[in-house]
Amino acid sequence: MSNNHVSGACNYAPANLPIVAPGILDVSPVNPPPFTIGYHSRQLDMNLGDPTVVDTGRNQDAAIFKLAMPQFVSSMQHNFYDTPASALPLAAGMVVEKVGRSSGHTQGRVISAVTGPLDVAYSAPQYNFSGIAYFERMFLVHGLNDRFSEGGDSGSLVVHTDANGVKHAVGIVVAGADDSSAPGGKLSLIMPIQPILTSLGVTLVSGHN
Amino acid sequence: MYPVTIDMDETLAAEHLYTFIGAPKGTVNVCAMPDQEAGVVLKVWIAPGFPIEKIPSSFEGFEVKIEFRPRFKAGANA
Repeated sequence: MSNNHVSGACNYAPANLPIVAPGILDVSPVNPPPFTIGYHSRQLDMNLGDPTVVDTGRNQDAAIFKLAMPQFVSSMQHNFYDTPASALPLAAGMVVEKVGRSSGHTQGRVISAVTGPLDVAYSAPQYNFSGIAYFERMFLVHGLNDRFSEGGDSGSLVVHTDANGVKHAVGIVVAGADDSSAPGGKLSLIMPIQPILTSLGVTLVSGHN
Repeated sequence: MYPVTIDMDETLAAEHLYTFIGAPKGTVNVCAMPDQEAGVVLKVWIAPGFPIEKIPSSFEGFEVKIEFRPRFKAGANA
């Protein structure tokens, strides 16, 4: 699973489009050659347009793809921790962490829920597309010592460790904004994972390879 | 005026303030944010051109701060 704007090309990826890893932006002589990690399956509603005239209430920036060779993929978040099998609702005050493509393993704190539809700017230049999508029930995260996320971290799983030391998935990274008051100058926008899992009808896989 | 409630959960207060302002969808957001001086403030993010006279300076015991909404961008260059 990832963001629609990562593996679903903002609704423009046709079904069964190959998803490669490393991603196209990371193809370079210093990285491993790209291989097909999976095939785009489907995405949740992400209706573009103004929320006064377009139904944006169900918008979620999430998509799933079918793994090409599950036996060669691990559920580990790099080598930091395994993907939790359980999920919790996001809440202000939670300490969270994630492992991302750009900023790696970082920790942060959920500083607030956002009330009201919030606009996020998207672009998929390979499809000559750019646009604004509005989302409700989003959350804001500040990094604990530096930025929590940066461009290219979208789709990272956000995890919370409870009082018993058990990790739970709580969200995915969607977007960011400049914020001079935030550590690292970045404010991260997180989407709760529970409604995404419910809408997609999927569960998290833990302990795989 | 609006009712004043002490010990109000700040997230709930943010939702109440959003309803109180009654702005068209997509023009305003409200967040209960930590603040070094006040502890917690209700930040009202507005779109350019939104009439700020509709927004109170305090609400349900919390100070209200008005800012232009940050520009959230998704993607590798965000």
